[in-house]
Amino acid sequence: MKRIWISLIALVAMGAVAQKPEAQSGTPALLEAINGKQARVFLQRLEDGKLTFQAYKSNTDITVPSSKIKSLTFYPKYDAEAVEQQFNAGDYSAALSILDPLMEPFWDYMVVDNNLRDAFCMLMDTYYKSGDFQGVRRAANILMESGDPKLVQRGQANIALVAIAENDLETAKKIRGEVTSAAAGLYLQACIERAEKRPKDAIWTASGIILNYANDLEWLAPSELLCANLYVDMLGSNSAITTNSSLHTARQVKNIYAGSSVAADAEKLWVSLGGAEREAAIADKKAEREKKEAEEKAKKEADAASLAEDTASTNNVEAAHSGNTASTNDVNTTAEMESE
Amino acid sequence: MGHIGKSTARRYAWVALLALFFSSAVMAEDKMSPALLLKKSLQLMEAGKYSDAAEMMYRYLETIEESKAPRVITIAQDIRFRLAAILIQENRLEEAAEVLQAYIESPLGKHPRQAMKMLATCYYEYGKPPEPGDAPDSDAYESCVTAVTNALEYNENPVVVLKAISSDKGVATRSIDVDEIDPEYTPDELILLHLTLGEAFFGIEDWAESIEPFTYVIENTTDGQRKGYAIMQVVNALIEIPDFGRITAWIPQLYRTEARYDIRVNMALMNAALALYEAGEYDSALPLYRMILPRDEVIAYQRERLRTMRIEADLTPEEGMEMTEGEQLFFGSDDEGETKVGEKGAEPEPEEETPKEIIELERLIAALEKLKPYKSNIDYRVAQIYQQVDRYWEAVRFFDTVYGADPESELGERSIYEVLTVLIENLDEVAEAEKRGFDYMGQCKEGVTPRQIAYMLTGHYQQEKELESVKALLPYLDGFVRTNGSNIVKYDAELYFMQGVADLMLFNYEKSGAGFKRVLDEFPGSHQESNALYWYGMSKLFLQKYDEAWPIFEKYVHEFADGDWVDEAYFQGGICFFGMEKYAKALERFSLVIKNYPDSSIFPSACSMRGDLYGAGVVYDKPDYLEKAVADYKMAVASAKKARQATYAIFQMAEVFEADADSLTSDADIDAKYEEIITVVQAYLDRWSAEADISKSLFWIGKTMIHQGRVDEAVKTYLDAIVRFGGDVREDGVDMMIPKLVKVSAVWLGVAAQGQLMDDLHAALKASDDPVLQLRLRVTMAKLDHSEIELGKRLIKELPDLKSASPPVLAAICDASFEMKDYSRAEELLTIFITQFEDSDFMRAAYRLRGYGQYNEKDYDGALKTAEEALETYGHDRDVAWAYLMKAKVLFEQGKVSEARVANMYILSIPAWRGEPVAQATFQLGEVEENAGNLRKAFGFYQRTYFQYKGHAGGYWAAEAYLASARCLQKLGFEADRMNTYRAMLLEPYVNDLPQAEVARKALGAGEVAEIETFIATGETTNIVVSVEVKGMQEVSATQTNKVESSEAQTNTVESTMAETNVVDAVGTEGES
Repeated sequence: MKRIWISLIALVAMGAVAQKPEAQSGTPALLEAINGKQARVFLQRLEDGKLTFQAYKSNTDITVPSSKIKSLTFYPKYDAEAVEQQFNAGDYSAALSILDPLMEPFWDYMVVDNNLRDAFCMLMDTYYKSGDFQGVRRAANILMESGDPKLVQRGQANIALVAIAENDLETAKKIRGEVTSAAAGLYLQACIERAEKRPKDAIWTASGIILNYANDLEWLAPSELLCANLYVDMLGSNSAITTNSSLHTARQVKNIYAGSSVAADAEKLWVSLGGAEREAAIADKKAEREKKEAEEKAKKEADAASLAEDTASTNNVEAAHSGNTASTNDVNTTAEMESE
Repeated sequence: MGHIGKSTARRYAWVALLALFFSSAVMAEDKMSPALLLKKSLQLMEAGKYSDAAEMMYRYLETIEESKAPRVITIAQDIRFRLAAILIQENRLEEAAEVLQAYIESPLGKHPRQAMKMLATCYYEYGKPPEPGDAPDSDAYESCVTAVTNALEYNENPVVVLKAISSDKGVATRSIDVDEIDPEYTPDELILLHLTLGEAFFGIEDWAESIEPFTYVIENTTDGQRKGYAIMQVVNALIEIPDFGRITAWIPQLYRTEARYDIRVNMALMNAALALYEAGEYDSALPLYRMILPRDEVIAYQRERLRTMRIEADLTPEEGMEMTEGEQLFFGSDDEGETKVGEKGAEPEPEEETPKEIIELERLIAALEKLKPYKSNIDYRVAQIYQQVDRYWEAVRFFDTVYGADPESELGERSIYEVLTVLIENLDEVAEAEKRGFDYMGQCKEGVTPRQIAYMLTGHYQQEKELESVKALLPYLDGFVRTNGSNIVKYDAELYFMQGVADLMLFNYEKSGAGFKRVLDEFPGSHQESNALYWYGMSKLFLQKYDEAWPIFEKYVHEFADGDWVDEAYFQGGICFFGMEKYAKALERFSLVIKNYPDSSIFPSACSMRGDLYGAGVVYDKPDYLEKAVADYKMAVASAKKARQATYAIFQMAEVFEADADSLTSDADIDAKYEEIITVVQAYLDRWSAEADISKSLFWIGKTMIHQGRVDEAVKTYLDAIVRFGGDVREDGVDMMIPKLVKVSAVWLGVAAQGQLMDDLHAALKASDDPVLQLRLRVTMAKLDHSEIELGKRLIKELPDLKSASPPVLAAICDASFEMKDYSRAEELLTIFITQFEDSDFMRAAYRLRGYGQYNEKDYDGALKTAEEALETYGHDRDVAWAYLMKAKVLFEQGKVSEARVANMYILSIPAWRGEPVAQATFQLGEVEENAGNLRKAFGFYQRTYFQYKGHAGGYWAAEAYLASARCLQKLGFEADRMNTYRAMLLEPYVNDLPQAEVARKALGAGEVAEIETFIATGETTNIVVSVEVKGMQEVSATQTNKVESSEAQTNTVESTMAETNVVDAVGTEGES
């Protein structure tokens, strides 16, 4: 009897569970069609240029050409700012540990404009910086299908960079010829030249980016960091080049692009070259010098005060004053260009 | 507030004047009631007669000044407010400020906040600098700061004020309607007030205070331009403070605003970047420079902005132009606007109606358009930054771009110079720099830059000791277009001077002399004139043209009495005298230097030179001449500033001590002299330690040991020194030890010790992997076992180059080459000695090889020159006799019979050359006479040769002399004597087995030859006399014997013959074999 009761309760319970509405499968998103209409949907898949989704609270699959979709808005739960900070701080493993699983459901939909593309690009960059070239290729290939010229180019550039890293220079050269951004093309060229052990040619090319595309923030910072690495490459091959060149270049990149992943990479290079120790030593010397100067200044002031007293006592105030006017007449002349 | 007081005074005066003016004619108005004045002023204002309205308002305010009635006070405040507005509109800002001040200080004003804002604006506008760049009125700006601060801190409503007044002063109160309450400042007003405050603080250079209000603007404004401007001002303030660390944080923010297109921001960016650059804040300056937009880009942006602003202000898009239909359609037009679309001949906008912002922008654009494009300037500065922070390739890239943009501009020229500087000095890309530099100099031949480049390359080559490369610049220098510009002349003089220096260092003294003379001739009075003159003299001196060098040095000391080289010039003049063998004058000159220039670097050398003169005993022949020499050497040592100066004097002194010792007889005295050598050498070693010539010191110490009988110690000292220092190819002290060691071995060591020495040398050779030392050791061993020639032959094949060959090794090669009559490397070997081992005693072998080589090639002039150089260097040393013999031969070959005769005779007079050289010289005298047709005389010399010197040179000269005698006798027709001569030759054991004897055998025939040989075999002796009548009555006779020396009588016969040559005394007593 007791068993029967238990069974009944179990059945009722099961029935109750069965009656509770199941969570809708798919990736939730806000879909905006090219006509401006928006709908909350559950994305099912994107295959062959066609997006299949279900409307909210509907089990019916709807398939439309992805070209009809203007954008998608996803709702991932993560601290985007924190991840960006990790990435920009050069903590790629931490960033990857969040981004990699986070982005997993959204990969297929990246060909459509969406609010996670920046994060996706960050993921691709993280793969690259972590040496996961397969991951880079996967991500880059998706971006290259996006139709967004900027993302296509970013995908191309990353494919090329991976090819260079794997010493497949022919592929890299082919892609370099295809990228539309002059700065990107030059950057790839410089990387290829570096891979070909032609650091002088490479730094000449990279300098061209700095010279002619100083406003291209996407490629400027990496180009400068590349220069720092090229100076390292040149060590030993040219007696005139010392670690100073790479140190200074890395330090400038670190300072000028502070808060970016490139700056973080530059800082790593700078630290590896002994920059921190050297800067500390310089700071110590500076502090010592300043202390000495302050002491000298205080002494001079004391002497001047003493002189003034003496002068006052001999009613020679005027002479003392005229002596002090000289400093106010100092004119800080600047070069002709600045005065113009 | 002084300006307010003055303003008040001026206003009262003006009012008084007006009052006087209107005193009669407007008497009626003067007597108007306050109400009428009020009414009239309002009417005038409404009529747009603001100036008159303002005067009426002033009069009204004076009239009711004493009133305490709230209503009157309220009206007065209202009038003050209106009056201030009128005055501002009339641009009478000082007066407006005063009125507003009164308004704020008085009760019952309805708009205190607005008044405060207006007051701040008045002060700010009034205090603005009349022209950009001028200083603002600091008093006005101070007042502005106060006004803005009051405005921002004001938090009361008028009613509160009113109550306060009523309660404190008993003034009647009045309620204020809610709508009359002065409204709080709007966000825009607050931003404007903060901006004004920031600007005022900035204007009075209170940089730190300006940052907070500007920061407020940055944080609150939505206007990108304004935000950017505020950031820029913060940056400027931080530069002035200075606080460079905070600047870097602001830069990216500025970069993100539209302000980067603001002309003022771009100008300010330049100044800020420059300040950072000058402060060495390159990391901050660099992004600032990068942010500066090119002039054309800024102009284009601002023109578009101006166009938009004009359209918004209902003006034509561009001044003086009509709005197109499209523009009208797009931007629309104000119905009340004066300009109608399509209306022909529309008047341009009256200037007074153009908004102030537009006028200001137009003015700025005009100013910018006048400015030369500055992109290259920015790129140049960026390049400098890169250079400063060791980013050299980037620096080259930027400099190169600036150069490429306008190669002929000043900046372009500076840039190509910098490109080359960085390539050479920082990147060691010399080939690239040379390519660019030579290309540039080939194309650009005018101005300073090609000269600067040539100068830079010259400096580099000099530093790298690439003197041939310096000379390669000469054609370019010659191609430069000359002008009289002082800078050009200076560079040219310098560059040609450097050419002379290069020639000098290349030992091309003829060329260097010509080069320095060129500087003197073509650039008279140049900054290098004195130097060129001195080195011109030195070039002559090096050429040993003492008579030409001397007047040059004299000229120097007269024309450049304060010149850098005056002491040296005096000294070199002394050297010239020395060279001209005017020793007394030379001594006088060195004494002058010693007396007048005790602190000169040349002083020790002058002491040494005078010491040499004293030591030679030529000029000064008193008994103490050696003491005086030693005193000078000691002075040289004491004053030596460089080790080499002391080195020379020390070892000269040692030579003197040794010579002195040789002249002494007492063992104790001799020992004392050697002790002195040890003392001075040890003191020298102590003083100069590592810089001292240790090996040479050891050489002298070893010498002293030998004298003291400490032979084993000496051998060990030398052996150790050779091993220790023999790895340095330039250690000439080691080279001096080698022959000494060989001599010691031969003279002092027994067989066992000799064997031990050889074993030690072998062991050292085995232990060493230093090629220089190995070669020295091999030569030493070869000298010890007399196989030097064989070693030399092996080394000729063995050594790919002569880099590791020290002087003894080179000498061995020279001797072997001489032996093989291989003169192919003679010039090279001598050059190595001259350029690297000028003072080496081993150079004499190279001179001989070279001289014979030249003679062999019939380069008689060359041979003569070489011979004379050898003679000048080594004097009458025995192993240099060849040089004089060669000189005589060359003169003979050149047909200079008389000179050849004298030369050969001279050889006979030199004691050191007795023996083989004299044998050869005697034979050569025979040749001279034979050639001159003096056959009997010739016979005499030949006969003397084979008679007296048969034992020399293995009988070579005797054999030759026999044949030559026979030849003379044949020519004289003395056939029997000729045969006798042959017979004598075959009987002479010194020569009868030489190849020349075959001639005699052939002439005598086999039978007689066999007979002679049989005769010799029997051990018999015979006399064969050949007599030839000389000069008629006299005879030259000689008797040949085998195994028997010449008889006294026969010798005398010869002597009588030789009397004609005036060398009887010299020769007659020395002719033994």
